Amino acid sequence: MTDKEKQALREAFGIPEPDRKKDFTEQFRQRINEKHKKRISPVIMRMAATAAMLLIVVGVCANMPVSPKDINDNNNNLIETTSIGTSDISNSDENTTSTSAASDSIVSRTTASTVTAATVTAGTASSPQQNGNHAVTTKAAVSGHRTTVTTAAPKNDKTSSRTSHTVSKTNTTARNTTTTARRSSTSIGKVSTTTRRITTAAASTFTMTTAPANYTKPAVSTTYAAPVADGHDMTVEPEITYSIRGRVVNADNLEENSDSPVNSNEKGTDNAPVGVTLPFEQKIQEMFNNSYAVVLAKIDKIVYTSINGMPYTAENITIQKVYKGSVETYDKVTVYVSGGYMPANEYIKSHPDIYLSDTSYVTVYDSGGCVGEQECGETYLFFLRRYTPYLPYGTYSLTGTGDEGVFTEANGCFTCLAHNQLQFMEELFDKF
Amino acid sequence: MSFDINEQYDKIYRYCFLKVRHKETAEDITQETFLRYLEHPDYKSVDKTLQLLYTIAGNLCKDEFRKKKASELSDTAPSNDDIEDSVLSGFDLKQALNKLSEDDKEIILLRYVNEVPVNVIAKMQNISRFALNRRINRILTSLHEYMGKEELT
Repeated sequence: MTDKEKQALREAFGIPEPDRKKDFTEQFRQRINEKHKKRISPVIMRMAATAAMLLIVVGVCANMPVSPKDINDNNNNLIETTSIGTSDISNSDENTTSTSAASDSIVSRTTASTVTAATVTAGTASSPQQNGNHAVTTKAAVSGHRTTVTTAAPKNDKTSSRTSHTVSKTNTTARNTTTTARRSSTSIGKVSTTTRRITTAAASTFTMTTAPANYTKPAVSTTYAAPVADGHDMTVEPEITYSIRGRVVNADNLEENSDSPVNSNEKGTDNAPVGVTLPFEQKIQEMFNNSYAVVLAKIDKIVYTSINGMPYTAENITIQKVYKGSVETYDKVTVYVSGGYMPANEYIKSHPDIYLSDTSYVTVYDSGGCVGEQECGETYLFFLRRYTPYLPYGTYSLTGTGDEGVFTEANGCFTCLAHNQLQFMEELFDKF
Repeated sequence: MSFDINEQYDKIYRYCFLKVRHKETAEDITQETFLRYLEHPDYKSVDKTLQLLYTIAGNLCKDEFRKKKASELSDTAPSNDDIEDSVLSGFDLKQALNKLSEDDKEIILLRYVNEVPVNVIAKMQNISRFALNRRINRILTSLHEYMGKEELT
């Protein structure tokens, strides 16, 4: 359509010209300008919100636990070994305060930390090619404490050969012993460094260092972190807790005869064999292998809770002895044991097949497949698993079915709660 | 702003006048349309400017229809004499336009007087562009038949 036709069409519609157009357009432009000016405030708000978000992120990152121990993931102890040497080592010296000596321009220093810190930082600075004094400094941070070892070796003109410098990292368990032997590239000598972990009563570990006997000890200043006295509290508080109130009804009796009370002595005492088909030693070894940790621990607190309507008992334990696993003595962890006490009105919600005439003041005891019942203040041997899907993160559960993974301890003899004929001596662990 | 207020004011005014057939009311609705458009959260969206303006104007015209009775509108509507006076030429075309339905007249006004893009009109009418083109062709054919000549192509 041509412009002429469009003009004709426009005129054909017979639309008069507007009268107030000029005034309105001016006002409209002013409004637009005002509105554009107002748009600054949202920008400021967005910038402020962004800054606040950044601050929050920085704050979260700053307060985030760096040590895996703090986030209940203490799997490995870390030992860092640094060795520098060009001469034969003829003598070994065990010293828990980490002392080394060198007179033939050799500096041998090993610092290791296996206490609770998962992050051990070791930095080594050396000048192997120099004939003058050189120093090796190893720093190890242990749970926020700092350990610094500085070794200065005297000048030795004989040393003209190359020295070897080896830094190795080793993940060890509690009883691991790491031995590192390095021969220099010029075959002048070798450095043999033995690192052995020593656990003190306070669960702290230092290393010993071997050094040649004919070396003169350089100036050494050593500062060690204070031993960790109380372990780490890694317990988890259950969200739901129940208390025993009113009449206690055994869930096993409800299906046959509802409302039949049971006294506390009845439950857990019938030591029905669950089926120990394997030889004892093999059974224990299988449980040992299937466990994340095997510990002797004292029950500090027992809390009755439920998960998905099923009763559970949360036991806070303090570890007294570690036979397996990366937990430490005096650590406090939470173990979830199947079964426990639960208010009847809560219990019947997840057990519709059970009928109770009056649930107002009745507590249901569900053994959860456990035969025995642990008591607060007692010490037991626990075979523990981790990362059970339905349990709260950071908690442990028992290895095996029911309370197969709990043993009473008496004079070094452990007796299974589930099968009292399953007994073994503590020395059995040495075989594993 | 993604449009010229002077240009769009005339176009929206024509669209409103076609709907309400009253000069003052059409101008009021036009101004109200722009004010509402300014307050609309999507007013910065360049793509939807025209569609938004015409949608607001159309809704305001419908509201105006609801407020006033048909009789009142007819009283205030300009007489045929006024329209004839304002039309200098194209008497046949005016008669032919009067024979079209209101919807057809609206489409012709939007497309050829206000020069609104086809896709915007299609979205306003909730039809596809192809359907709109077919409809425009049909309307033009009707106009040709009414006018009895082949000037409009």
